[in-house]
Order: sequence, then structure tokens, then C-alpha cells
Amino acid sequence: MKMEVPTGFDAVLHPPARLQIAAVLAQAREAEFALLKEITGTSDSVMSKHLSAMADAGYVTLRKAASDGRQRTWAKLSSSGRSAFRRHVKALEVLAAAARS
Amino acid sequence: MQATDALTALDAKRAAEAQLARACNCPPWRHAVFGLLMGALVVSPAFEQTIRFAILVGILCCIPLIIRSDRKRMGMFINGYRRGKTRLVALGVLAVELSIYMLSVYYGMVLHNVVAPVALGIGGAVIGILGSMLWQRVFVHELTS
Repeated sequence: MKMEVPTGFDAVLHPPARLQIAAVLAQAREAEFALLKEITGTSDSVMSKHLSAMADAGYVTLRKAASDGRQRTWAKLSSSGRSAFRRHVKALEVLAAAARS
Repeated sequence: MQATDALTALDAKRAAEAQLARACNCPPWRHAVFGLLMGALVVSPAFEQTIRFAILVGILCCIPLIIRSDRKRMGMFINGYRRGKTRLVALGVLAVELSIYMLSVYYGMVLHNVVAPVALGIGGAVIGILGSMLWQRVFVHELTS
């Protein structure tokens, strides 16, 4: 069933892996690249592309930190990313409710 | 835009949250450490100023160590006061711990009674452990229900 795109729908967050990244970062203050990769089931390169796209949109901030002699990447949801995520989930819920009725 | 796309996306979000809840493993020692810090805070008025100060500095030094340990163990750090039902648990524990701390201050520093702050400290540690365990249960339930 084809439907109108509701207000709040965000094309940046629509790919399932990006929605999952945002869902994790909405709960955790900060999460490591490896954890996000494990939860979304993506490869290093795909995860990097998703995080770069979200960072370019201003939804995520990335920082590198050394731990146990290895460089690790940490991701954090920005306040605009948090708002966009909430709006996008609401839009998806509206679509899902319309589909069920 | 297909309606099924929205349903699929929401399913993916829920699956990620459930996985996050599973990844957020909090071993018994982690609950115990939180309880011990709460207990140490409450028992501190039983001691003279220098020791009291040392206990408070020790507690403050432990906080970044706990955060670092959580980050290393789980690959993330979750704020205890995060939005959601867990905030009620965190604020409830904080209110109870502060109340018994004030009682401990009264007994230890005003009445110079040592026994009461020690007893209250043990109570504070137990409440801290139980509060931490409850927080964990509420968090997992919230993300998996």
C-alpha cells in the first residue's frame, strides 16, 4: 500500500541500519563503533558510510580515542539528531498505524 | 513510501533496542560497587573531618573509573538519569540516599553518635545495591517490552 510521506519523516534516518544506530545512541550517551556494528550486523565499511552520512547531516558526532593501544571510534547523537530521530519514529508510527487500520 | 517500509523500520528499531538491552550486562560486582559508594557516603559522618574528606574524595575518584569500566566492558555508557522509567528509579534512590545521609550527618556530626551512621551506611549500601539492580531490570524491561 503506497502512502503519503508524513511530516517528520527523515530520509537520512530511513535506512534500517541508520535508524538502529540512532535508536542505540538515543539510549546510550555514547557508543563504540564495534558495538554499533554488532547490533546492526553491518561490515566496517558499511558502518563507516552510515556514520559519515549521519555526521554530515549533523545528527552524530564522532571522536577517536585510544584504548588498550588501539584507536577506537565513539559515536554520540547530537541534539538535532535526537530531535530528528523522535520525529522520524513518530512519522513511522503514523504510517504503521494507517497501514493497520 | 510503502506502509510495509514503516513496519519493517520500526521492527528494526525494536530489534536494535532489544539487542542493546542484552549488551548492557551489569555483573553483580557492578551493583555492589555502586552500593559500596552509596554506603561510604552515608557512613562518612561517623568519622573525623580528615577521614570524611578522604572518603568523599575517594567516592569522587571512583566515578570516572566506573564510567571507564562500563565503556570498556560494554562499548557504551548509559546515563543513570536517562529519559524514561529508569529516571524515576534513579531519582527515588537518590532521594532515599540523601535522606539517610542527612540523618547520618545529624547523628554523626551533631549528636557525635558513631553507631547510627555505620548502621545507616550499611542500609545505604543495601539500598544502593537493590536500587542498581532495580534500575537494570526496569531498563531491560523498557527496551524489550
